[in-house]
Amino acid sequence: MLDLKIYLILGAILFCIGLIGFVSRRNMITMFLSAELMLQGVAINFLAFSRFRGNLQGQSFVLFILSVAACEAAIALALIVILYRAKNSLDVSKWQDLREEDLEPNEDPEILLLDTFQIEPMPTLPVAGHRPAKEEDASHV
Amino acid sequence: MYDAMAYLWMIPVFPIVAGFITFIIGPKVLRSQAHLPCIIAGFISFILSLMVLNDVVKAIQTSDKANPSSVAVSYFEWFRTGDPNLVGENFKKAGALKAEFSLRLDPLSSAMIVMVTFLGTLIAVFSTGYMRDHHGHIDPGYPRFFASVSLFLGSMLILVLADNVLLLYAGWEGVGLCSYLLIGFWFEKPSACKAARKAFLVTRLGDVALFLGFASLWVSSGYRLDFDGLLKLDNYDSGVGLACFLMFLGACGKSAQFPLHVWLPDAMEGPSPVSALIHAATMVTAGVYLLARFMPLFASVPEVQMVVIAVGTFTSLLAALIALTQTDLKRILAYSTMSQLGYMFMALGAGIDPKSALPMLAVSAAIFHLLTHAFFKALLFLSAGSVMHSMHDVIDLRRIGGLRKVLPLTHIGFLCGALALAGLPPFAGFWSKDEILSVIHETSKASNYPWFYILMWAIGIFVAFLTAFYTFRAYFLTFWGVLKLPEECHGEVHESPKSMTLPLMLLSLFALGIGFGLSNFTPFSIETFLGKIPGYLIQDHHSHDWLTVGFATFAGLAGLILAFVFYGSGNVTISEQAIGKSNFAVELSKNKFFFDEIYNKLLIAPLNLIFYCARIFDQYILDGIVDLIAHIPRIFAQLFRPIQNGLVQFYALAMILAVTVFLIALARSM
Amino acid sequence: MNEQPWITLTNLSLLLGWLAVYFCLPKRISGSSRLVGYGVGSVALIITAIQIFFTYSFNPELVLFCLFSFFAVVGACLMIVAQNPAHGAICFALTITSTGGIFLLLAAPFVMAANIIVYAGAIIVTFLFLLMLVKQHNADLADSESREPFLASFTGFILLGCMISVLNASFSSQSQLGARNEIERIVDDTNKALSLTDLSELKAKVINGDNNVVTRLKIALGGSGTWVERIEVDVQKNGTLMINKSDDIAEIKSALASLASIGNDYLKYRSLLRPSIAMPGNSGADPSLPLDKIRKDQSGRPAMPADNTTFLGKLLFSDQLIAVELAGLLLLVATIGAIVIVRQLPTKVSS
Repeated sequence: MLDLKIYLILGAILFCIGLIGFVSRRNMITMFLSAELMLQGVAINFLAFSRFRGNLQGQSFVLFILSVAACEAAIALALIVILYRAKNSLDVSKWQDLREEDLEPNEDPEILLLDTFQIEPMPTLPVAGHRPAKEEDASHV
Repeated sequence: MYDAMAYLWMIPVFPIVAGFITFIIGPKVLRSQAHLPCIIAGFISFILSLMVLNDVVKAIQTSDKANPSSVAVSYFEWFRTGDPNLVGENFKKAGALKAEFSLRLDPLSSAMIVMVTFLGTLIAVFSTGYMRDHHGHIDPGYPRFFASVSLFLGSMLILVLADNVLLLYAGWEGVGLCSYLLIGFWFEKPSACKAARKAFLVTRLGDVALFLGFASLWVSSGYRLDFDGLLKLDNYDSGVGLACFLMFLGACGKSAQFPLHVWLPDAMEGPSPVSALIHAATMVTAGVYLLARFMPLFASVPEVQMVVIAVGTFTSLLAALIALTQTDLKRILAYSTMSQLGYMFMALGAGIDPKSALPMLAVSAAIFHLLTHAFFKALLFLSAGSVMHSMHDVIDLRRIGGLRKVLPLTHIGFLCGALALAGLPPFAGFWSKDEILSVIHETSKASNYPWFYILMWAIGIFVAFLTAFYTFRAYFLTFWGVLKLPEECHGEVHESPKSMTLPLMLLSLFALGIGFGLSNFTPFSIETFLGKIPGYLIQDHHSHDWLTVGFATFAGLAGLILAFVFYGSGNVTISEQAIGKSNFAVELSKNKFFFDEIYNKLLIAPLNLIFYCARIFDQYILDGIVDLIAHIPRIFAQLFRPIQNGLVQFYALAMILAVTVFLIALARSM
Repeated sequence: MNEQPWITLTNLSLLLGWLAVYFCLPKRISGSSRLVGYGVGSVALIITAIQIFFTYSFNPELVLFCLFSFFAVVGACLMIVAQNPAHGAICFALTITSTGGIFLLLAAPFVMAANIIVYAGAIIVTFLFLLMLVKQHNADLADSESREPFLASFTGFILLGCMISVLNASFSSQSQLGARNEIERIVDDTNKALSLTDLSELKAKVINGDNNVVTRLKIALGGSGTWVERIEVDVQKNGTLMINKSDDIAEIKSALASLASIGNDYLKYRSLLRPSIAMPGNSGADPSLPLDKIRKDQSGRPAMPADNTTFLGKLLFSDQLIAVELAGLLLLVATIGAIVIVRQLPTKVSS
């Protein structure tokens, strides 16, 4: 028979994986997904407590977490959009204004060779309401 | 007498309250009426003082046990140190100290408060005119001026009414502070600031000595603070001489005696009424009052008294010599004040034998001169102020002249004051100055060193001659001769407003009459009045020292005539010769005997060296240590600064690491 | 804790998990490290599965739990190592649905449904739209490189290890739960005995034979660990001698009282995960009931109400009404805020 502990450990695992992702990944969207993953771990914790206590307080708490996560998503997505507009990149490392005044910004050397990675291009959205005339037009929004 | 004690406390309290009221609501509410609290409070205090004086006179006339002429009342306990449960010997041994707000009423203090409140009120009235320009606009600091004057009056009244040395000291410092505020009244002028600072610091030197003197009095009198206990010679075992010497140094500071005299001439930077109030009539007499109050003690140490008389004589001679060549009217008056204070100290120094009537004579002579001098010097300063007001702040004797016709009232006032100062009969100065010289003459007969006192007497006569000379030099140069106006006037001169001339006229009457009024020829003799202070032997017969009177009068007349010949006769060549000739003596006098320069070289330069060393020490060694301490964290911080690289993820990582560390600690403790 | 060896299967799987995540995180020069990471991660998962199957008795719940948690963990790991955010979002959807299964196991069907609707249905889709909107034509440096992969994964797994060991140390597992209940009974008995006045009756209740509280307490504490040892020393010092050898009822009673206080201390400090105050009662079980008085299902756990949604709705709209209103307000504010933030967005359509 499973006990409370194993559910809590599962929640902790999800939380820590989300933490690692949040700290190490540089794409803002991935970071945000990692934060949501951490919330999932917390939700499992609450539900497990609820289950093993035999009442519904934990479940109602998870519902509140869900609503807060939804708000967070709305705001974060809006922020990501304007941040992207400012730097034309989703890289969170472009934002280093909090550093000490006389420190040099942490620049990544641009030695990225795309060929070696062979990453597929991102899916793009065609211009709404128009049939793309050429193949290249599809990449414009 | 006891009835008077019920309202005695109001006399100092009214001006103090008025001062604070003016400070608080003056600038915004009262504005051009800011003089009202000061004048009203001063006037009420004056009326109360007259009532008090009346009571004292009655008490003297009856003079019985039920109505003593000297009463002290404690109104409330001021402060107390040490364990209040200790009593008697233990209390004293524990060094415990109990100070009360207690006031003393006796002939000396009653005479002082009447003089202070009367002159204070009069000068405040005068100031309402003086502190406005010719269009009636008030000075920007008008409320501040009257608040300070009011506070000054209160402090001075506390000083003279106090019944213990601590309260006296409080009043002493209060007048010092107000004097600082008033000298530096026009603080926009660097010279005024400098003069205020100089006055404050130089008198501070004396104050330190005074406090030490009080402390040694306290110890050697068996831990007493009240005058009853302090003035009883039986209380003392030893140490009176030292205490008296220290107190005398304090009095020197406040009363501008050599060697602490240098501040007084500079103090003329303040408005002229201030000069009249503080530097002629009241504050500078605090030293004289102090010595008069402690005369029974001083009389018991003739060595200190010889120092007192020597210093007094030297100061009066020095000041008179300096005054001979000064060209600034107020400065001449300042030096004459110094000189007259020297006279008072001479008188005080003459009271040597506690078993004889000499101390009483000395005190009455000094206080007599103090009173008369207060009136005629206030008159002179106010007249000078009036001249200054009319001449648009120019009082250089070389630039003005012949004002007799254009300023008739001021001229009369100044003339009365000058005659009184010169000691010509029947003006006030004549009576009091002769009294002083007679006392010295008396003392020379009683002393072991008659030649010493005879020398002092002779110098006194000579100074009387010099006084008459420089006074009338100033008078003739200002009011006689060809009309000379400074260009600031633009050719227009008019007499000062009524608020200024009325006090002048009133004071002229006093300068004329007060000397005779208080002399031994009238029932209001100051000698019989002050002689009723308990503890003095009274001389019943009044011997008139006709020799002294004759010499002094002659000296005064000679000075007057000489001055007339040089400056008043219109004979330009003589006066040109007198002023223009430059030889060593004249240079010495003109430069005030180089005292400022000597002090600069001998005292201030070494002090500056010490200050410089201290600054270097502070800047490089102390600050260096402090900076070093500050640099150590900075060095560590330099190590860690790269952590603040602006990458928020990195911050999150650091935070999680810290949380992990805490969690490990928690897990280990379980 | 001190006695526990550091090299345990749990710690081994943690180590392997760390290595797996480290190798898999995108790095500038990755080579074939990703494959190594997959391998190591598989080993770690297998070890964990073995551990679970050895610890718990086999039943359908265990199988389901392992299945869902496997997908959840694998999806999470793949999400954080994905170089393409779109793939990451898909992996996240996998995690969400798997945790939905876990939610069902935890008797929370409504939350499961809400979770999947909000996350998988709304957030993920919005993210994917956003990804397309910002139109990254090709892989960004941000996606192909991690910041401090070593330190981050190390920290994360150290934290995980700490949490697991704290859970191990502080959480009442089955045996500890038994010990807790036994100690509660002992304290109860002792308190009852303290009210007795007859010596022989008292001895019969708490001292003689199997009823000796000291022995019972020792048996109940059982196990090992510094905390237990400390309590045992106290028990020895305070109780044994006096209870066994004395005939003075007052002396026995004072010893019993100190024993009862030791038991109470144990209950207080070892029941960290137990609510100490009663909570509002619109749920399945009355929260004021002690844990052992709650209606149990056949597996021994407290029973949950069958009408999950009904009870949840009752709870939300009665006890937590204000919180619900505030949450609604928060959503409204967030909506307005999001619109305000992106309002200045210029409509940039280039041809």
